[in-house]
Amino acid sequence: MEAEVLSKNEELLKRALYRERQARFKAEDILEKKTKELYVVVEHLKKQITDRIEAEKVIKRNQAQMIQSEKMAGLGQLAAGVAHEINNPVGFVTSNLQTLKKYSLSIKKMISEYDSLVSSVQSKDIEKSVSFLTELAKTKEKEDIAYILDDLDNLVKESIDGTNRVKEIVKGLKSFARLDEAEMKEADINEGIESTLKIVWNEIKYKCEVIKKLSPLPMIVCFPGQLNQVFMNLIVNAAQAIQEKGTLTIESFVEKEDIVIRFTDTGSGIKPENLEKLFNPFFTTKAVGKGTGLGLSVSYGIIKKHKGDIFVESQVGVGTTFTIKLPMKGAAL
Amino acid sequence: MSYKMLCVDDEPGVLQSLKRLFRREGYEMFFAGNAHDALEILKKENIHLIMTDYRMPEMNGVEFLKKSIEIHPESLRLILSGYADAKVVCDAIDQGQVYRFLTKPWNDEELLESIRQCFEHIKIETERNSLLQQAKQEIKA
Ligand SMILES: Nc1ncnc2c1ncn2[C@@H]1O[C@H](COP(=O)(O)OP(=O)(O)OP(=O)(O)O)[C@@H](O)[C@H]1O
Ligand SMILES: [Mg+2]
Repeated sequence: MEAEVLSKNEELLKRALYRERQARFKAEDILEKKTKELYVVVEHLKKQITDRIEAEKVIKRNQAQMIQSEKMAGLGQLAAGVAHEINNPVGFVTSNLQTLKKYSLSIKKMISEYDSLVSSVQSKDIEKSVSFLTELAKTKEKEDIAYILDDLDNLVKESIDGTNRVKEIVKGLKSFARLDEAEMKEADINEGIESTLKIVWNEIKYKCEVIKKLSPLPMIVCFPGQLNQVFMNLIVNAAQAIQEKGTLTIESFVEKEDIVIRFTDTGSGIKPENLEKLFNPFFTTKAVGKGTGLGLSVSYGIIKKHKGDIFVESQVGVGTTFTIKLPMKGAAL
Repeated sequence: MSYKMLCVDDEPGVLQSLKRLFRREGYEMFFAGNAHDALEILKKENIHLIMTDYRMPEMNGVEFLKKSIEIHPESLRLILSGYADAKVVCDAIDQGQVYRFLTKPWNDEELLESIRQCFEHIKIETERNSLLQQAKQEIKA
């Protein structure tokens, strides 16, 4: 009887153990399943995050490219002018130096013959002296020494002018781009206008007369290089709007709390229906490859960043005025 | 007979340096600071070779060459320019019918050599024409 009870208990215990094991297996199973699910979710999340980071990178890169391509758009037009302006003086200065080298050979030749003459005179060798003298006269004729002496000063003067011009252009480019100034700093807007004019001068000199009415301005805190970019866009646009000959008037003055800069051209003017699209990115009426249509939209962005305003008035056949207002205070971001 | 060459550039410094460069080449040289003066010279002189800048006020090099063709279709035309984008070169070839497109800054020796080749070309062309003329006359006779 006792044994029977015992074995029955044992039986129960066994079953209980078995059940417990089954339950544990089941739990483990579920746990494993859940872990797997979790793993999948985590992986999915991870992928989402990296995708997002990638996407942000692409956006940032595109933005950078947009800004860069605008810089290129503006500067591309200028490259022609600047290349021309630099290649001309470099061309003639280099050529003049080559000529100078030839001149110097001729002069050296004469001097060496002159030295021979002197030494033969010193040694009182009359016959030799006479022959060297005739030789010298011949060489002077042959080498065209008279011409060389006549030309020498001009050659040097013109070459110095040429190198000075290159120097000026490079200086202008530097102060225009102000590449070292990615940060805000105090600057004189008039100075920015002047240095920008220097840079675009080639682009516009054949077409428009520039009238400057720049009143003295207080220094303001700004991104000078970016503002110059705006000025450049407006000046180049004005020149491009002028068919044959015209004028561009640039004014600057203080009005209440603002610095006002105004660009007035006697160009083609803008059709009323285009006025509202003007500041849209990629809006252009220029031929493919001529305009990107980014000039004004980027200018708008830059002026807004300075807490300023830019607006346009225009009449077809009469001309266009772009006005920029920059707050003297609070231009800082 | 000496060959006549006309250089056109709105940059006095360039004209002066070209004057120096070609001084002893034995060509008869003419210089003009703008297209208008250049056309005046073309009306008076039988110019064999015209070398012009591209970017000039009033009239650019291609426009000038177009007009020069009306006066002297047989001259050889060159452009010497500090800036050459594809469009300029195409225009020069299509409309200005240029023989060569040379760039600034130039190399003196290369420029001299190009010009010598141009005159060589002109010489051969002239000889060929006169031979042709001669042959035609002989056939007629
Ligand atoms: N001063 C102006 N006179 C007449 N039209 C203008 C003037 N400024 C701008 N526009 C018009 O506005 C359009 C947009 O100007 P925006 O500077 O944004 O681009 P774009 O000049 O066409 O190209 P990009 O600046 O890249 O060369 C121009 O195509 C032109 O039609
Ligand atoms: Mg523009």
